Amino acid sequence: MTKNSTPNDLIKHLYEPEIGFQQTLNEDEKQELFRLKQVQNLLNSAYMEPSERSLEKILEHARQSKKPLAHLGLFYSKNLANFSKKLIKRMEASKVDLFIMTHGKSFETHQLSYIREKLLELDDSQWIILQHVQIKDPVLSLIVSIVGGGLGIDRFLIGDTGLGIAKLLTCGGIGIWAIIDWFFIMDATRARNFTRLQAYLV
Amino acid sequence: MTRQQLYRTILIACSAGFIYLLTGIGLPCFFKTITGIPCPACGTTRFILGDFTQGNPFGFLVGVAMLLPVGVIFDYLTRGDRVFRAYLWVENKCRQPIIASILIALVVLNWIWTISKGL
Repeated sequence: MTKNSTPNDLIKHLYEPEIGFQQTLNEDEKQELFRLKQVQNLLNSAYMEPSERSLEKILEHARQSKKPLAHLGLFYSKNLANFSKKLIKRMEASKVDLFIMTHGKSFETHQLSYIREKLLELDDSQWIILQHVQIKDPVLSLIVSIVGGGLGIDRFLIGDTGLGIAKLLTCGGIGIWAIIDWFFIMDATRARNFTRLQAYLV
Repeated sequence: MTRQQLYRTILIACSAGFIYLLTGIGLPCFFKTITGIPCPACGTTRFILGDFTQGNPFGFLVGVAMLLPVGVIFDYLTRGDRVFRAYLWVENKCRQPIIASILIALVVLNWIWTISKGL
């Protein structure tokens, strides 16, 4: 049979490919080398475009592998720990910025920095839950307030059901409350959005 | 909405309502002035003042709501939150789709009735 290559030989081959080296390997070692190459590619792509999925794939390969990958793991272990931390944080920052950009106008300006800070502290698994928060557009509520303010539809829309009923029953506070709300409904919507989101931020 | 905010709102709104009733200002409804059609709440004052045939049945609800300050003052004295909890309960019930659609249907039917009565 062929000579028994050490894990170091395999890893070395990844960086300085020698012609003819592969012919000296047995089946197991060839498979192991193939796996190493895949892991290397994954790590490269993970650096370029980090995601939890890429990290999972790498760990999956590590689990299936025998000796050499353990070596490679040692080789990367220092980086990997930092890398996985960086991975989660970087992902969060981009998502949080996306969230802030999408809903920036639905919150008070002075609340945005607080929201951003709090969102960055959140676990990544919270991201999907965050999509279910009902955030209303202040401009839409203003339009609804002008058109249907007398019937309290604006208050129903932003979720103040009790006030909506009161407004409906009194014909928009005999028209006076309806007019006052033209000026206050946008702030009320933003405040309401903030309270809704706050339940998820803790 | 916190307990404090709710109680303040109730007290202000109800005192405004009592002033409106006692002085008998009789502001015309904006909706009716602009469109010529009575709004869903037109006739509430008449119902409260005792015109049960021509008035709007909404007046019953508003009449009950006008009694809320009694509960609020009682809560203030006993440091309780019964009215606040009742408010949250009603709000929660009204948000359930089935109850909400029934209530909306009732409001629309009542509105049609109001228009046909020509208030």
